Amino acid sequence: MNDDELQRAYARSITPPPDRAGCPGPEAIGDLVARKGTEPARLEVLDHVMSCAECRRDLDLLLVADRAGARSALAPRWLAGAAAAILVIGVAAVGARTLLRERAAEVERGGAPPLALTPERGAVASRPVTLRWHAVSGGREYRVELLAADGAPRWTATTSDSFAVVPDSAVARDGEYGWWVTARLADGSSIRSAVVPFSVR
Amino acid sequence: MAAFLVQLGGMLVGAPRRWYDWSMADPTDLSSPLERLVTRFARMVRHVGRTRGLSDPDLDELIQEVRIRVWRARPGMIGGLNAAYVHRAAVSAALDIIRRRRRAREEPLESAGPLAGSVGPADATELGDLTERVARAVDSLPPSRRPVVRMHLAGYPREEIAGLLGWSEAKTRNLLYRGLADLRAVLLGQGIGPGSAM
Repeated sequence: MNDDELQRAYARSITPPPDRAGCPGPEAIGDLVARKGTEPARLEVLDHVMSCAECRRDLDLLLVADRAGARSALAPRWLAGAAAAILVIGVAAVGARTLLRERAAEVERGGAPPLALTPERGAVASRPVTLRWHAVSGGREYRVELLAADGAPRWTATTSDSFAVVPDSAVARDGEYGWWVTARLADGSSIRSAVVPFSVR
Repeated sequence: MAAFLVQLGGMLVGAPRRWYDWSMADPTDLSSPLERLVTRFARMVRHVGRTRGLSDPDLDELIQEVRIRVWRARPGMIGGLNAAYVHRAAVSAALDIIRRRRRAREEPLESAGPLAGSVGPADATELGDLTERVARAVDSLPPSRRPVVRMHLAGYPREEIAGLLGWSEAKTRNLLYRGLADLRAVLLGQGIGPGSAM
């Protein structure tokens, strides 16, 4: 049997476990990724992970988080001085910002307009609060999230409509909130709005 | 720019700042170095995630978790929120997602890989038998080589195996080749050799 044949046979042997009782905890898989602990202990965890479909999914998510996070951390030092540079070069920064906006739009789905409609930034809304957004061409569903002033998620909903009514219990206290919406498109990509701060009185 | 100057002005005169005064309140505002950091992280997540075959919902969830964490941490970490924080936030967000997933057992995974083509009952039995014998042969490998062989058979590149275990490329290659040789020897002993392919 060559490598491909072995890999196919092996892939068929990896199935989800009936339950996770025998699986290592998330922290143990995290330690494996962070290379913490002794080598024999890590090999033992890895041995299980590679023979368990669900643990492999866990490991892959942690590997992606770790690798992507590490690559992001390789950011050049100029990030810290970017604000100062903007002050110094003034007008040039406006141009740079335009370019960077274009790059962001490219990342998230070229040229899409902001999705969020109402409440607008800084608006004062009364209960019941209705969130409205632009329907997007090709949008299959929308996930809307309401955040408390400290950024903690308060309420979320998924809908195919272009509005959602927030339960009063989620905005029971007067104060500042934020909301955003993500459109999931038919091709599997998504467009997200900015976080829109508003108040409830 | 104007928002930044207003923000800076607020800092200088000690005016109270609201949570949304920070440019990160608008994730599309790339005047914020932090936002650039998170945007770059999101790009990396999608790139790395797709090479590992993770689904878009998994990746979206991770990106959103990290964005929220960075956003939450910002007011208390002025000047201290940096790329290293994003790295830590990413790993802890992934751990939280895994914990939530385990608690909820949201969706059962489909069994790995459907059989290619159509096979009759007799073929399926033979394939099942072969699969089981390969799995058992892998189980019989020495513990020092078995995980490496498993990773290789699961499709992880050698550099990934070496990185995860903190081994040199040479050590990884050596243990992998010896492990695969052991595996083939075990299978050969069971009469599974060239020509036994499915």
